[in-house]
Amino acid sequence: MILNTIDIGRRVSKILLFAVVFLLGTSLAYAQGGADGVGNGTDAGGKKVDLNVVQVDEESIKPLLKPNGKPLLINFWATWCEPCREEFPELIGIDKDYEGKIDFLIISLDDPVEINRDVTKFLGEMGSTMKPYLLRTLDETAVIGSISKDWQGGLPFTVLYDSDGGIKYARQGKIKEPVIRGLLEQMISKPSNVTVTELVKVINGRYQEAEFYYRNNWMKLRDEAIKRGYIESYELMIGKPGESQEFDIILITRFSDRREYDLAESRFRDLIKEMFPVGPTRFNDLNPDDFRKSFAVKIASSMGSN
Amino acid sequence: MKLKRIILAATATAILAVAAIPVLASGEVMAIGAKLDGFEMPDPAGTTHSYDTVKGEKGTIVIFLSAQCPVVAAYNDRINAIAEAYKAKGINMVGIYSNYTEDLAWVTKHSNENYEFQVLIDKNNVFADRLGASFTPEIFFFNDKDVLDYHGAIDNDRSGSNITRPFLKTALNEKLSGKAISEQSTKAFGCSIKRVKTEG
Repeated sequence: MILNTIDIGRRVSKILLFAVVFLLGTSLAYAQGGADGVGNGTDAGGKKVDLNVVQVDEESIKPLLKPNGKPLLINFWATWCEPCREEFPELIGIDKDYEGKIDFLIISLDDPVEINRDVTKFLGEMGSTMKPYLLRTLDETAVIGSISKDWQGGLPFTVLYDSDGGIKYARQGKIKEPVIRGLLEQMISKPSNVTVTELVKVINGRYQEAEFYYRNNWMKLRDEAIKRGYIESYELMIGKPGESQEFDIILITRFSDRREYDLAESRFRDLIKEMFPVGPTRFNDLNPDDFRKSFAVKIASSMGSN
Repeated sequence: MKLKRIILAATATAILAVAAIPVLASGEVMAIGAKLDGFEMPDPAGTTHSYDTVKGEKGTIVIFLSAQCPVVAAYNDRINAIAEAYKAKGINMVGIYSNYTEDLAWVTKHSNENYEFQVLIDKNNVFADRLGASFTPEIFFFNDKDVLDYHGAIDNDRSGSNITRPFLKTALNEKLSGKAISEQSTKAFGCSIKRVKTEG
């Protein structure tokens, strides 16, 4: 067996293996609450003004608070909040400058009767381009506490999540625009990759079966996944038989970002059905559990260029 | 190179832990169970009042107010009703104006037009900082032993049309009947207290 393990990042093995990547990610779909808004957006110098205010409650707001592969900026505001109105032009400036690079939501705490009146009127006058929502709940304690334990509910409130859901900035009161912009610059210039590393031990001395299995299943699956943009790259490293007591094979799969990783389970499931309709390709009639077992799996996020 | 030496951290793991990210310029909120060591603040006419002279025999409701905040305006009837009802039962209400953006003339006019209970001026947010107050209207109820026994909202509906949880009245009634307050801390959306010092 040849150990081509050192050139991580460049060498791509040709052996396929059939390894399932299990996920820890969360669903990142935005939920839409009852659609009570009226969309009468007008173009404003490029980006469309969004006046379709969607009402949410304490349940339907939850998915909105989870990033979808990009930094997520959320501003809680109300037409009755003077500093909220004062800072709006700065928020719109941020939205325009980071279009496509971040997701930006605004969540109004106005009375629902204002969803088609004062709220849309104000957003229209401002030329607001952020995705607008209106929260109505009788359990504000729970909602506020779920966003930040240090927030008592004063408006405006702005929170910035990185693509992994970590809070990078949270402020009650008018934003400090240079601070947010500085953070955004750092976040968008350094995408977060996700790497799954699995260590496999060959058992019962079945090295030939294991190598065949991984080359013709795991590796072929990933070659196709790269073509389809499901993964960024992979590594298959096979050690000499008996060299290690703990593991013999290292499997590395790299995803460009968290979103790609979160979609992997369903994508790979469909791809496996397509490529291996009658099951994995095997050297003989042995099942994979007869010649290999997983020693460890590590899922890691990283920031920085490749 | 042996397989064992392969660095599993070929891709470095960045732990995106949330460090201490400042949210409030006010700092820590006073904890339930903490004792208030008094205060002194002037009323709009300039007369200084101490905690001992304004507190109630059975407890004191400290409420942070604002001349500008529409949420306070929406609550004024309820605030006054509670102040009157519970004064008779030995619980006094004390209003605190802490927004640095609201000058004395404005606060004087506002308090004269809206409230009968004692109001005081918290210049430079000193008292708001001590309590960690951050929005209006915000309640700090101190019991007869000067201990913070309830903190947060008046009830669960700003509009007043669908109140299902009258937090403050429930807390006061429980206290007056000798029971422990069942829900001591709540939150609600309101206007931020405008502070002299702000952080990034």
